[in-house]
Amino acid sequence: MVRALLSRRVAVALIFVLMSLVALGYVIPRQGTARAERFALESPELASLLATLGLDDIFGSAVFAVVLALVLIAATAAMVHQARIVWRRTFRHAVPRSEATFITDRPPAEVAAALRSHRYLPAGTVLGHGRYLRQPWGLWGGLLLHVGLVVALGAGVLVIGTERRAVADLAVGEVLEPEGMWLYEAGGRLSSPLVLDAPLALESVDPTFWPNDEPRQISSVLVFFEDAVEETVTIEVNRPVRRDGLVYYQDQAVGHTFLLEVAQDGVVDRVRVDVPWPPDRATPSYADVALESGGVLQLRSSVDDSAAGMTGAPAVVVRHALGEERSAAGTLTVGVPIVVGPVSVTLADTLQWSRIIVVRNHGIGVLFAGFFMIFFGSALIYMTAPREVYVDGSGADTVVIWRAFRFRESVIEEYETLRQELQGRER
Amino acid sequence: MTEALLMLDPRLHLVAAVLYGVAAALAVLAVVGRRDALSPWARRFAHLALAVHTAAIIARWVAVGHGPYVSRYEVLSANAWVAVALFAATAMRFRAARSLAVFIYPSALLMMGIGLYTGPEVELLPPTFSGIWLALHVAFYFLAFGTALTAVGASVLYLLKARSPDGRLARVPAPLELDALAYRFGGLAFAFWGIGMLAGAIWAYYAWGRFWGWDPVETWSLVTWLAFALYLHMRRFYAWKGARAAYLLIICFLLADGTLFFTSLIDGSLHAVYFR
Repeated sequence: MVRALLSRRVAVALIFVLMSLVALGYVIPRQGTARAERFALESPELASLLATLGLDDIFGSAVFAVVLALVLIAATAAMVHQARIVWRRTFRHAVPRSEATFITDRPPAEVAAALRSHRYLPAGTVLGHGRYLRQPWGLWGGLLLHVGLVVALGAGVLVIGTERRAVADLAVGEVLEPEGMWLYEAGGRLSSPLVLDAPLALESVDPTFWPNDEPRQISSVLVFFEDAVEETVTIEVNRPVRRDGLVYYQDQAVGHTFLLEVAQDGVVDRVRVDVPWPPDRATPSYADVALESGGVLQLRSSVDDSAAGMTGAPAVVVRHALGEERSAAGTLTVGVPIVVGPVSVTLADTLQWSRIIVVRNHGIGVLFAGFFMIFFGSALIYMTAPREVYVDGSGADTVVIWRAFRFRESVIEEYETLRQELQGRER
Repeated sequence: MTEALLMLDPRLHLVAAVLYGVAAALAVLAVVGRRDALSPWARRFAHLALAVHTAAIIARWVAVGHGPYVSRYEVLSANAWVAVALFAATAMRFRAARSLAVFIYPSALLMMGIGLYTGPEVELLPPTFSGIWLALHVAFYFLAFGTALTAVGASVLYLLKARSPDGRLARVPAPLELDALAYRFGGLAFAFWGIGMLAGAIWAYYAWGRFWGWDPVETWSLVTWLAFALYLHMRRFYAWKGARAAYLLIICFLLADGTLFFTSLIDGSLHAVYFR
């Protein structure tokens, strides 16, 4: 089995199959994406067939997992094979044959000095021949590359299996309990539900904008309540905070929370509506909220131009919709009730909300270490051309045997230079 | 100051493009027209172009406050700069690489031309565009593109030289040397592409809380990396060399081009925030 996985045919086939699956996984719209929804509307029969065959989620399929597992096993076998090769080459016990061999009447000490001037390092003797190596570390590139592959693949499996990710939209002042009400929570098959180590509250949100109204940075201040001690942390986009094994990220979604009192037939409901921040000063953002009475309140939030640009207080307009019927729209002001259709709406307060992502995972550091090994292994392979020289001074003349482990064509000039320097002649 | 630098930037880019054009013409005359005396002049013009190009990139960097990695204009300019700088360093180390000037200088001219055509409008950075991992991510992709361009240049010259060894390309190095050069630089492109993906994954981890999302650019980046891995394994295991290896490398390069310059235009890609 291991021998089969070490075969060059299997290695090449696995790379090709993996590459084809990844490409196929892109071509076929993946379930849960907007593209898949569009595809299902445009070609419902084909979409249904692909879903039946399990091709709408190739990256999550058993076939993909099996191919990855085979790649992992093949890479492990190749790693062991590489280790044997590099050990044999570094600590060689036989003198190889090479076409690049010459004889010189210079003594071995002079040959050694010439080799040192070409940055060769002495590596002991092998069967009476002095051995010299140049860029011997390049021999270890293949092994490092394959160790990196195994480490990265193994860690990747661990991360995918154990990662847990949850998303919450918090309004300023809102407290999220440890087993919080997540907007969304998902994770790998080995992961357990995400539980915070302490309740947290959103203290403030601070979005900043470029002059063209595009977001520049978003930061949120979070307060953790642990054993009557309050700990405050600030998260920003691209600057998460790690705390007790969980990582807290600032998402790019922020907006305004409108707390409404909706009165109808003498019954008052308190309704919270989270509206995204308007994309720019000329474009409002929208949100709908369904009422228990069956209608829908439609809110439109825009930036108040008279205020401080994008960060000014929002102007919010509301209307009532029921089926095809739309009421006239009214502007909301704090504490002032307005009537839209059959309901009376009062804006109780305006807050800001921020989307926080919480992630727990294991093995990310190992995964990245694996990638670094792949890089350094590749760099050692392709940026170095390790070579060795054997010097035999046992006879009247000195025999010099030169050999490159790879990229011979790129470094063969060095052999010619050595031969000229030492006035060598054909054996 | 900022206004002045923003005015200066496209003009310097234009001057650099013209100088690359002169260097490209001289290199073609030197190699194909067998006029050896023009070769050093091609190199001098390319070095002058590189100096002007460096000044243009610095001017823009100071003016807009971020590196050349947001708009198409900036990315193409940086790719051209890295390709020519890498070639200059390679030509010093490997004599066989010098004739690749007939491929690298025209490529630089083409990238500069397309960049200038798309326009130097300033794109402001979204909040996710910051940090050392982003800088490493784009820097290693620039290096990957530069090394892949050098490798594919060697492959194309190999194919032309092999077809007519004593024809117009008589001054080009022996096919075996070109083949070895393509192999080494193909391997380096694989390594740089890999570390670019890694740095991108770490950047995504900090910016979006996930390291891989099967975004179109991520997906095709992985396909390209695997294609380079396939190329290296075919060479290593099946001793592919010569024309077959050259054609496979050209396919890898086309995949890399598609990934870098076209998949980011796909709607729904996180990378669509730039290159609009």
